[in-house]
Amino acid sequence: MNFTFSEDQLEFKEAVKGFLAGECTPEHLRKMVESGEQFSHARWQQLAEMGLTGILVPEAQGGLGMTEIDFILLAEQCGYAALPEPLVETAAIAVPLLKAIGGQEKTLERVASGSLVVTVADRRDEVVTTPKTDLMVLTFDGQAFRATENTSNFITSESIDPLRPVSLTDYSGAVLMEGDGTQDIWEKHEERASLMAAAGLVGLSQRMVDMSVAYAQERHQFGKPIGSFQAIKHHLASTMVAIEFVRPVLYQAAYEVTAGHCAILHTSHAKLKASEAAMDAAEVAHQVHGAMGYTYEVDLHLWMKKSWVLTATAGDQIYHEDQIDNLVMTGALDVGPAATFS
Amino acid sequence: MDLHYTDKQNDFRAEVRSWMADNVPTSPLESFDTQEGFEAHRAWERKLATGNFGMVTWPKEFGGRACTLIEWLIFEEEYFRVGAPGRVNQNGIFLLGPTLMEYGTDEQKAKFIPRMASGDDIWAQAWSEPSAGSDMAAIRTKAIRDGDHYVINGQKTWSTRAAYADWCFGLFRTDPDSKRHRGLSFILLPLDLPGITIRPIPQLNGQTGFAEIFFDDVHVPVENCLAGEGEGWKVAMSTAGFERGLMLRSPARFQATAGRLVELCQQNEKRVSGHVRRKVLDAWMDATAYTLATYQTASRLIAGGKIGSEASLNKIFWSEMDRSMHRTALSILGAKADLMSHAAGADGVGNWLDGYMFSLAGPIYAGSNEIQRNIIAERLLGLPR
Repeated sequence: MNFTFSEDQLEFKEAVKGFLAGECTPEHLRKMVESGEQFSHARWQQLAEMGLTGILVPEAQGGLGMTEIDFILLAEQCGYAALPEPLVETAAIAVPLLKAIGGQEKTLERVASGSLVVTVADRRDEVVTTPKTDLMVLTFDGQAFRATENTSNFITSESIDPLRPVSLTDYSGAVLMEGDGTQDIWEKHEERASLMAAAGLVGLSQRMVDMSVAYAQERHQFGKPIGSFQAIKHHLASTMVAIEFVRPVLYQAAYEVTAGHCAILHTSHAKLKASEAAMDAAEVAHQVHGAMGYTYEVDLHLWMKKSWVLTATAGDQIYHEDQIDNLVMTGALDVGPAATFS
Repeated sequence: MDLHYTDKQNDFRAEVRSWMADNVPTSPLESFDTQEGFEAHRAWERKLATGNFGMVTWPKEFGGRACTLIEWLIFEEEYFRVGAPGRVNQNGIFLLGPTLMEYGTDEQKAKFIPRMASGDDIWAQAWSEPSAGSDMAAIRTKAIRDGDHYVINGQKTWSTRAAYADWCFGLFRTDPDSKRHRGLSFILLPLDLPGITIRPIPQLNGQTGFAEIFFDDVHVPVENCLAGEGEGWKVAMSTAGFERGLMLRSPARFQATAGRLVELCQQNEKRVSGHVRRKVLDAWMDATAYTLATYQTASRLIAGGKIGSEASLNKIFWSEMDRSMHRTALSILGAKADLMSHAAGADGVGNWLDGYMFSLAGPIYAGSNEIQRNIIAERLLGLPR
């Protein structure tokens, strides 16, 4: 029993954090919003060169052959930076699905090299992330997995998150797999998608706290920084408590997904609590920023809107509450002490 | 990361489970905040010691089993799984014990720890004073050096277990000219010394879980000072770290409460609203999250890390979770919730009321949650004082 990350995992996180701090700055995000851009090809190529698009792709297809637990801290950092490109969606959600479907070596190679973005239309949601670039969308209609690279017939929609291109889900495309086994593969996919969305929300929450701390140190009222007032301190401290107690749930969920166990209890717990922490963090950050938070003058809105979107993505709060209820309240689970680990 | 127990850990769990099955009292003991209940709990501590279960993390020569913190968590899980009695010596084994391990001399460890593990010495806390609650650095009770003794004068209050305990530990001002955090010393003393008067304070449930201690020229040998004169604040912060961060409230306690709450909800399924049902789910989720966080902390400490100001995050989380779980239970029970646990018709549900009253103290003791929020804001987030 050792509930810590390895030195390598922590170093990888620091490297990605450092990269995103330099290459995915709020200034750049603001420029993208102003020019109506939603995807940076240059940044995607850099991510591919760091091995990030192929982190879960087998080494034989040019990837790093790593696992979900190796990616989870990176997914958090993508949230922290509000990375607009669907790296998590492609590298940690679509890639494992392609691997499970099997026979997708060519596609995996293209993902690892950075020449293909793949997103999955999650049946729990109505929309799919669709950057207008080299894109493949995977769908599952309950019977068959399909892939389409021609998304021009998709009905384009518009998200409150200005950096998230979306379309309505379209179940056309070539069949990759159907029949036996698809349901099991899909269920695992759903767990993984919930997990990765939860990680993004934890990162978003942390960034909103950090932004608020910075703002509360700068902004003076009554002759003092507003961050010296307990009313402000206690809001932010409570938010930190919520965030810190999502993290271990998230990491156990990542561990169980990686191990291939049924992880829905853990992934839904992580997603539900991460969503609530993020919604709270956004409200608190908004309160700390005062009227400035209600404008485009400060960057908070980009993180806040991404939090709203991720909260409702990969299963909304009602969906995840139902999953937990089904397991905890029905006697299906040992709910007392000594039953925490499988 | 490896979230599997080792064979050795599984064997240890099996041993604890089997010992508990053979030894845990079949009916609950009376509260340890009564004279009779206190002695019954002391007898239980002595029974635990016969199995070397007094404090499993301590070295064998001190009555322990040299277990890791992971094994301690396993012990706690098995302990709460069978509803074993509360630890009347928690001030000793969970707070003073780890502090002695860190700061005690070999003589002090040999003198105090085995008797703590065996239940022979039950410990009280002596931190707060009438004018030093949340502001603990305002302590005024003096311990003035006179040859090989300190002479103590002053008053402590809210001293947990002091009504019946044998010894107490606390902070005293050894430098009368000092201010605030300086000039304080961490001193251990028996509660039957001449010059000590103890006045039990009836608390919310009518029992005397804490007391005032009056000191009138009380002589304590200088070797009862821990870590040297004037080092008291540093030692106290270490004790507080254990209290808030890890040991005082082991996660299994809350998992047991959450499990009972889920059962209570199932038994009352027809009248429980969706809102209450969600609160019950929160109880299970939060107890699980707290457990996982504690395994993380234990793993980090085993790898050589230290408990820092993140202990404050913990203290807020467990104390507010505990209050919320009990309140949820009361809302399910309706009017029955208000029957005293021993009263006719209570059918044992009164334990929830006792638990609720106790949970109300959680956000106050061990440093109020407002103080914890200040610590988080200033030391973890870096907001200005």
